[in-house]
Amino acid sequence: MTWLTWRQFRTQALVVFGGLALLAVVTIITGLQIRQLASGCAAPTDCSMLVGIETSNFVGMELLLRGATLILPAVTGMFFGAPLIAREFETGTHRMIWTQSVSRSRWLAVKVLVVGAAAVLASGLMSWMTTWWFGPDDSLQMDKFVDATFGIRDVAPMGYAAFAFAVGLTAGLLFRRVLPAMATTLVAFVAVRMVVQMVVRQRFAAPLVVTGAFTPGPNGPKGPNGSWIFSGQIFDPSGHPVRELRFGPGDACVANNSCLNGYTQRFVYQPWSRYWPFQWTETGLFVVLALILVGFCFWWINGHRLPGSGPRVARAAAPRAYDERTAHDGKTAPRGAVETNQPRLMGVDR
Amino acid sequence: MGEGVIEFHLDIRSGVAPYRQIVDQVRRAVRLGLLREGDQLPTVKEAVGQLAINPNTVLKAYKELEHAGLVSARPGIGTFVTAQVHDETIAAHGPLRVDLVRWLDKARQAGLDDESIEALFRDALQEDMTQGVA
Amino acid sequence: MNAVLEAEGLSKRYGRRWALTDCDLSIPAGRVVGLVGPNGAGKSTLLNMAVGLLPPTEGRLDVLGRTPKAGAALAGVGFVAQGTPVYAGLSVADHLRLGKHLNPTWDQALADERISRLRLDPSQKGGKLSGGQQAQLALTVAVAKRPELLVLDEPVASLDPLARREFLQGLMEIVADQEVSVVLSSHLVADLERVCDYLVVLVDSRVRIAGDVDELLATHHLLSGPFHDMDRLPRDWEVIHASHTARQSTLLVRSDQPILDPSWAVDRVSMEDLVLAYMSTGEGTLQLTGAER
Repeated sequence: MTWLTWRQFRTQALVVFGGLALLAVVTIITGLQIRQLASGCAAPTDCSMLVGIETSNFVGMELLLRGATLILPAVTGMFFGAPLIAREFETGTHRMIWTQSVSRSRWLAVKVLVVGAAAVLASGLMSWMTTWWFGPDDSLQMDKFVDATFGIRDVAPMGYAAFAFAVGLTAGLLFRRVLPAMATTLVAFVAVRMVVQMVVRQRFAAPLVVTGAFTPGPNGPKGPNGSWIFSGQIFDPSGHPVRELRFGPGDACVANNSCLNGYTQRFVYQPWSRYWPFQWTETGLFVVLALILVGFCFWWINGHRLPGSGPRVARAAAPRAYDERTAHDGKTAPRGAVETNQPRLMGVDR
Repeated sequence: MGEGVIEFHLDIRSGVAPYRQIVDQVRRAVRLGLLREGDQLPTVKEAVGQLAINPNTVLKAYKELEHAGLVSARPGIGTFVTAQVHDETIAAHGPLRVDLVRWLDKARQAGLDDESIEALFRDALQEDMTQGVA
Repeated sequence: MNAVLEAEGLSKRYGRRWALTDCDLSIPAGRVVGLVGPNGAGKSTLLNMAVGLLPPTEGRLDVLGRTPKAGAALAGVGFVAQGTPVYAGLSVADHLRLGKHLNPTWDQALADERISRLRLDPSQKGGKLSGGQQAQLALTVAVAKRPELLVLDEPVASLDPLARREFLQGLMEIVADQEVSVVLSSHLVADLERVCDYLVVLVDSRVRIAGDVDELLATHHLLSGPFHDMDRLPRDWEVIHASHTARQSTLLVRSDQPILDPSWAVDRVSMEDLVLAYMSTGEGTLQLTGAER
C-alpha cells in the first residue's frame, strides 16, 4: 500500500519538493548575503539597508518568500488533498482499488499519512526557510507578531497545510470530481484562514492593557516592543483622547521641551512573550480541525452508517429462494411461492 | 497453441446444441480419418479458448463420446481417440441397409420422387438431432 | 452445493427511485452465470453490491457466505467494473504490482503468463492501451488473486467484436483452468448464450426468472396455434408472453410437463427468445422465432 501511495503521488511530490529545493538554493545564497551586510553594521539602527528591506536589492526575494509561504498550504491542499479520493471516483478506479483485499480504512490511512505528512512537511520547510531568511529583519523590526507576518513564520503554516489537506480530502470525497473539489478547497481554506486571522486569533488570550507617559515613536506613540498592538491611544493631561499632537514655534512649551508633559498613552496589546504560545495555539487549532475532517472522511468512506443501524430486513420469513434446481421436484407449489416475481400476463396484441 | 489435431467450430444459430455439434464434429473427423486412434482431442481449455463457450459444454460432449466408446479420458493427460470408425463402414451395417432399401420401395410406391425422399429424410434426421438436446 | 451469492429481499434505493426491488437469488457455485436485462434494470447495482461497493437499503446479501465489505472479506472475489477502468498513469507492470501488494493470494506467475500470452507490453501505461487491452488487463488483475468468484459488470459492452470474442475466450480458459464461479452481466444475449449455464433475468429492478439454462430451455415452449381465449388455457401453464391475431395465438409458455395438446405447434425456445419474452412489457408485437430456423 505504501508503494502504491508513493507511485500515485510521485509526480506531485517531485514538483513541490523539487521546487522547494530550487527555492532553497536561492534563499540560502541571498540569506547569507543579507547576514553579511548585517554583520557590517555597528548597530542595527545604522542599517538603512535592513530597515525597510523593501528598498533594497532583495525585493524580489522578499515577495517570493512571502508569497510562496502564504500560498503553499492552499496549493498542497488543492493538489495533494483534493485529487486523492476525487481522482479515483472520477476515473472509476475506486471500483478496482476498493475490491482488492485491503480495507478502505487501511487504504485511506496510508494515503493520509504519507501524502498529508508530505503536505505538512512542505509547508514546514517553506516556513523554516522564510523565517531564517527574514531573521535579521525580524530581530530588527520585532514585528513577527503582526497579523500578516504571523501566518508566514515558524510553526503556523504547518497547521494551515494540515487543515488545507484535510479540506481537500473531504471536498474530494463529497464532490467526487477533482476540479470542483480543488475550487471548494481553496475557497473554504481561505475563508477559515481569514476568519481565524482577523477574528479568532486575537481572542486566544485576553489582551493586556498598559498606560504610561507618552513616548513618541516613528509613526506615533511607541508601544511595547515586539508586541501585537490592538489599539493605541493618546490622552491629554485632562484625560481626553487626542488624535493629533501638533506644536509649533509659537507654543510656549517648545522652549523648555515640556510640550509632552502630562500626556499619557494607553495600549491594548498582546505581549511579545505570548508569540510562541499563540503560534502553537493557532497551529493546534488548525490541526484539530484537520483531524476532525479526516475522521469524518474515515466514517464516510466506510459507508457512513451509524453502528447498529444495518439495512432493514423486510421480512423474517423463510427465504423464498429462486433456485430453479432445488424447486424443480415436479410440484407446482414452489412456483406459487414466488408469485410476486412472476411477470405480468402479457396483453393482447392489437 | 494448436496442440490438438483438429479444431472445433460452432454455429450458434443452427438450432443444434453446441455440445452435440462437438460430438458430431469428432465423429465426422474419426469417420473421415482426420482423427486416428491415439490422437488427442483438444483439451477443454484449448477448445473453449477457440470457441469462447462454457467448459461444461465441452465436458458434456467428451463424456458422451467416451460413453459411446469413441474416446477415452486419461485424467491429467487428455482425451484420446480409441475406436476406429472405419469399422463402422457401410458394409458393417448390412441389416440397416436392407431395411433402408425396403423403406425406399415403400416410398416409391407412395409416389415420392427422389427430391421428396431426400427432403423427408433430412427433415427426420434434423428432428432426431434436436431431440437429443432437451 | 453451496451458493456463491445469496440474496433475500434485497432492495436498493437512490433517492426516490428503487434500483433493485425485493430480489431473491441463490446462485450455486461452479457456474458461469449470465445476468441479463435492459439498461437501467439494476444489473450494475446488484453487482456493485455483491462486491461491497454499495450497501443495501433493505434485505440481505451474502457472497461466499459473508457480507461483502472491502478488505479480507473480498479476498475470494475478483471484480471487473463496467468500462473496465484502469489507472491511466500506471503501467501494466504497475497494475500487477498493485495486485501483488494488495492481495495475499496473488499468483504472479499466472499474471505474468497471461500478460505475455496477451502480448501486452508491461511498460505501457494504462491510458495508452486500447479498450480491449484495458479489459484484458482488468481481468488479469481480478483473476491473478485466484478468486472463488469472478464478477464482471458488462465487461464487453464497449468492445469491438474481435476484442469481445478474445475477452470471452480468455475468460472461458480461466474457467476451464481454475475452479471459479463467474457472474457476468450483459445486455447482449448472444454473448451470454455461448458461455452461460445459469441465467438471471433482471427487468425493472426485479428478478424475473433465474435458473439453469438447460432447465429453463427445457421448461419453456413456444406455442403457435389457432386463436385461444387466455382463460381457457390449462392451469399449470404459465404464459410468459402472448400475442394474438384474429385467427392465431402465439404463446411462450412455461410448463414442467410436455405440451401434448395437438392444437398447438410446439417449438423449442432459444435463450434470446426467453430473455426477450421476460423483458417485454407486453405491449406491441414481439416476434419470437423459436429455436430452429
